[in-house]
Amino acid sequence: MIDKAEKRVLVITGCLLSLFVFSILYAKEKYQSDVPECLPYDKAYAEPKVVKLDDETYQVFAVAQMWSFEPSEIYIPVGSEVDFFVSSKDVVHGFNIAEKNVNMMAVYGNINKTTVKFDKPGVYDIVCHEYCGTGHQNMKAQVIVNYPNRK
Amino acid sequence: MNITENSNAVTTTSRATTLDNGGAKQDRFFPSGAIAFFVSLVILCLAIWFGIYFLMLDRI
Amino acid sequence: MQISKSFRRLIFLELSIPLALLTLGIYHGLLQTIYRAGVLQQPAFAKLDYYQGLTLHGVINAIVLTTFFAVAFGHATMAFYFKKEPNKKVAWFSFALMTIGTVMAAWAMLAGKASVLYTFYPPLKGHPLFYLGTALLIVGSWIPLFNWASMYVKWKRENKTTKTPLAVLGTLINFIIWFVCTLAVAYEVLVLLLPWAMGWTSTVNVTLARTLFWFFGHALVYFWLLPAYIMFYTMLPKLAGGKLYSDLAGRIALFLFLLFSIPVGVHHQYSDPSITQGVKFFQGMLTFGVAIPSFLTAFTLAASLEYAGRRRGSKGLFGWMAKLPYFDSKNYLFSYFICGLILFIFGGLTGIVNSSYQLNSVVHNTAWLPGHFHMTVAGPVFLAIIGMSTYLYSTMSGKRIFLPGINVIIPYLWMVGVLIFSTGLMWGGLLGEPRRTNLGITYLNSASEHFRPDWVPTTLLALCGGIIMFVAGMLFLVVFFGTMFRKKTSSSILELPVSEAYHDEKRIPLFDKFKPWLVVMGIVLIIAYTPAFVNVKKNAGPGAPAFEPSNPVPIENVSRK
Repeated sequence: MIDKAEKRVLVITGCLLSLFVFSILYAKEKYQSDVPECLPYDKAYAEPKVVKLDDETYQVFAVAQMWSFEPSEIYIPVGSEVDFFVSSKDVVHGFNIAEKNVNMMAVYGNINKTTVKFDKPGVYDIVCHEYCGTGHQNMKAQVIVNYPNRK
Repeated sequence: MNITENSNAVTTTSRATTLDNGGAKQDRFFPSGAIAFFVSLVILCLAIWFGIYFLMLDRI
Repeated sequence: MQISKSFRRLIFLELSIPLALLTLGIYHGLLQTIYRAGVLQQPAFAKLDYYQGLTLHGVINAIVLTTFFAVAFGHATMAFYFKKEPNKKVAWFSFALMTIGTVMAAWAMLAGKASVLYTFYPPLKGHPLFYLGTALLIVGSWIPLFNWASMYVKWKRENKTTKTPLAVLGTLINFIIWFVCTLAVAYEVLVLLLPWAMGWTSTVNVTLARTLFWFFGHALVYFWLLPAYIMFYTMLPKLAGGKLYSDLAGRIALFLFLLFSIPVGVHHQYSDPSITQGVKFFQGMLTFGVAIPSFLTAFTLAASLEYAGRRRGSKGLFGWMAKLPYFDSKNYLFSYFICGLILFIFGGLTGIVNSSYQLNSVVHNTAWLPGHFHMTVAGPVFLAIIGMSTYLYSTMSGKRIFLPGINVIIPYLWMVGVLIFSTGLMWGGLLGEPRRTNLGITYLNSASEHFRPDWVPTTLLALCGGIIMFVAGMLFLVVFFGTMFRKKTSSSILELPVSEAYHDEKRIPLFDKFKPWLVVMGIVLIIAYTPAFVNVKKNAGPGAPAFEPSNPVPIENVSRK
């Protein structure tokens, strides 16, 4: 029916794509590497605040609006695990911490969630990467990861 | 016009096919170069994909 | 084939109106690279603001040009293969709707009242005529499918055991995909957004709108790509001096696109809220399914070109690549096609990265994305559109090409430009550079506290590539419109290159009929998308009021004062 070489190509392609699927699942299982988590809407999550659960666990409730993030400066001790809960007060915004695979859309009436461990100290930019109006290019916040007791 | 009609053509293996192509005899051709190109394409795909994959793992 | 004056005029208008608009589309493409490199550090230039221009760029290049061309090329293909022109009234009516819609949307964008980008995500609101105009353009493009389908049914009745020509199969499959996927965006625009834009409804469910948009948005890229694929399968082998390696492979690829083009849209929403990881993962797997026909095509085209190369006397494993007619000004279509295919190698592979679940977190909404899609829609799709537009115009008008030597160089210049441009963008994207952002004001402004020096080399590369692309684009417009002003020197005909197949396999009824594939397509769509819409309904909270791009205060509050 179909040519022998074409058949071989289909098999090679199948193997290639299976390798990718396996790698995706492996990263998911071994490193909990995943896309943002789905949460049903609750307006309690849409109030900006930073909550310390213990010395190494934090929750950041970030609200994006035209054209800033609240809170805009977030202090986290190095070695902490942070849950980011993100939503928007108005139009769709982006929430991107490039060096940590944090890449979420902030949407009105919706809550987005991801978890990050900040192993290295430094200043991490939170950049809005979805067009949100005339002030879009000004919209940036920071996560300042530092040693405990040193602000 | 250029619509090939082969309702009566019998095809056996891909190499021994006789076609309605103006009566010319079928030349034997195995696309070894295309297979080589395809393998190179797959290697390039692996390089780009795993490049991003390990970058992602690095950023966790 | 001889054609009527009416048909000729229709095709000319459908090809040249978008190409005239392309002047503005390409101009603002260049401008974007200039703003982003920080050469311009202001919100607007020459009466167009950055985001207004960006909207024009996306809508003109990626919606107007591509849709009009697909319709015109579809008309030409069906007419040529069936030796019968499409129904005159139907075709002109479709053209009228598309043009009126385009004029409405163009007015809204040029008036600065629809700077919402071509994705028009709510609750950013544009002028109602923008939404209505877009809807008209899309509905107008549906109409030819029904006429072509009846032409096909008639032909089939008289040719029960003949294989449907591959180009015809491709055209029908392409427009079936288009019709099904645009139902979602038509619903989004006409039911969710237009009443809200007019103030008749006060809020909109943003995630539902986004999910409907992306039901359309991924299949959109196949609507762009399939006319180019039709040209690659049915014309390229002949232009290269060879044969299509396997006709059946082309049919299998087309039917796989029919199945997998639409139920994968959620891979554009990996970073969206309110859709579960399970649905995202499942559609990610289906996206790997839609990669298969492209891999198959890559091999089949390589084999066809290798056959052509060997016929010209090439030796060795890769020698065939050198023996192809790259710079023959009488065979310029080959050049447009081959440059598109070279770009598509990188465009396609980076696309696989984008759809690979967690890998998306590295690249989503960064400059990597436009780096990727300029090697797809601005690669094989754009080059096939402009090459074929010149070809159709020149043969149907009986006019010789203006500056044929330049014409054959344009695709190479464009290709080099895109490679440099996309390298800059992808590198920048991996450094966190955002897309859809006027970087010149802040991130590429050394006086700003936001200044990012590491994005200087990346945006500079994109600027250099953009300039080269701009030059190539302008040269093309000179060639196309220059040809238009020439005198007619030969007869007007509709003639398309048609490749013979090396493996012209016996007709297999399964790959020559629509019903079973349409049934499977429907089933896969229901399985893939029902959970997504259920998620959106369940998890999303209140709907959003409308916002103008310039004002954080929602519109209803302003009017209540």
